[in-house]
Amino acid sequence: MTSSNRIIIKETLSENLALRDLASSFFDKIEKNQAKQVVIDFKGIKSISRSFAQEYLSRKAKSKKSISEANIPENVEKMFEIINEQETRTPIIDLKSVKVICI
Amino acid sequence: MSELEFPNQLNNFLTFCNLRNSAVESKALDLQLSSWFYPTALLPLGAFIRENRKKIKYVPPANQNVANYISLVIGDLKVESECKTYIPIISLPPKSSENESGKLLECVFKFHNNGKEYGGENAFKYLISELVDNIYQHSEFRNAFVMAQKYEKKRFMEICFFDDGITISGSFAKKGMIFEDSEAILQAINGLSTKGSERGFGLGSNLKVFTQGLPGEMLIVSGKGAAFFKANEPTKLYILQDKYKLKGTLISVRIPYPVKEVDIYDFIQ
Repeated sequence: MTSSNRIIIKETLSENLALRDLASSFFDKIEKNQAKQVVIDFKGIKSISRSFAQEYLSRKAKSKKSISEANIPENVEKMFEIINEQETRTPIIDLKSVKVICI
Repeated sequence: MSELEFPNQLNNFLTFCNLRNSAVESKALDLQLSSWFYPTALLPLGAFIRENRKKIKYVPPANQNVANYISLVIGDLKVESECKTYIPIISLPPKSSENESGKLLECVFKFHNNGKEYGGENAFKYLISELVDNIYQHSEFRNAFVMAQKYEKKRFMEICFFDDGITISGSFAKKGMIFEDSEAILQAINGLSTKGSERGFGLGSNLKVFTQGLPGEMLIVSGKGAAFFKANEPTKLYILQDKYKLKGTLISVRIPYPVKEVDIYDFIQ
């Protein structure tokens, strides 16, 4: 694999991976790349939102390229695990306990 | 808090509504007697002033310090000094320039010292990122703003997001899901999504981290609905009269500080 197939995501985006649309546009660029194998290097990433991570994994799953990751920080790894191991959705609010007030 | 008392953030929102309604009726926004505003009132008020500069006369507070503060906060100024205790009202860039949105987030992170006192860098950045992303994903806003204020003596900070978009119920309605404004807020928190079963985890997970992890308080106002969330208290859902209707959505969060590091993965679904 040539070094041009390794993308340091911090340099392309930011050390904070925040917005879903940024993950989407990031993958748009990857898809335009001629390389069939791409390594995404997460070196230096400080934070990742659930939205960014979900879009990243969703686009990766749909891509015909071979995409792998390197230097994934623990917090990014945990976020990916939460999305991959997504269980049945649990309601946050118990609707029966909600107090309704008219103003 | 007694049954009849409203949460502080809701009272501040109602203050905004009363000032707005009076201004619309009299064609003058008279703040002469106003002594202070929290972001929950000041952010929508600032947006109102900006939108109606030519139509409504603005009478600033008699107290010069308050008048100066308001003019600074609503002036869309950049944060130039790290000593400031506030982030002025900053516009979120339109969807077409999301890179600019990244810069705005960096500004919010930097102002709050990367969230180190607010549950840690990972938690703080996660919370703010998800709230901003929600606005981009669902609101279809023409104008959207963020503002924050630290209260060093009271040991909390308040950060607010306001967009003039289609509201939460409006977003559901576009997909044929019809709810009253107040019910739509709860549906969104509980994970109903207009974008498929993989989506809809953001707001609910955010609420858990904010209220159970930090623990903070969150007020959401959207259209004629409002909801207030605080740990160990039942959720309060408000059905608002027409005079308290908000065109768009306001999210106000109070976070105490310092808060030790929060493991967000205990709360995220």
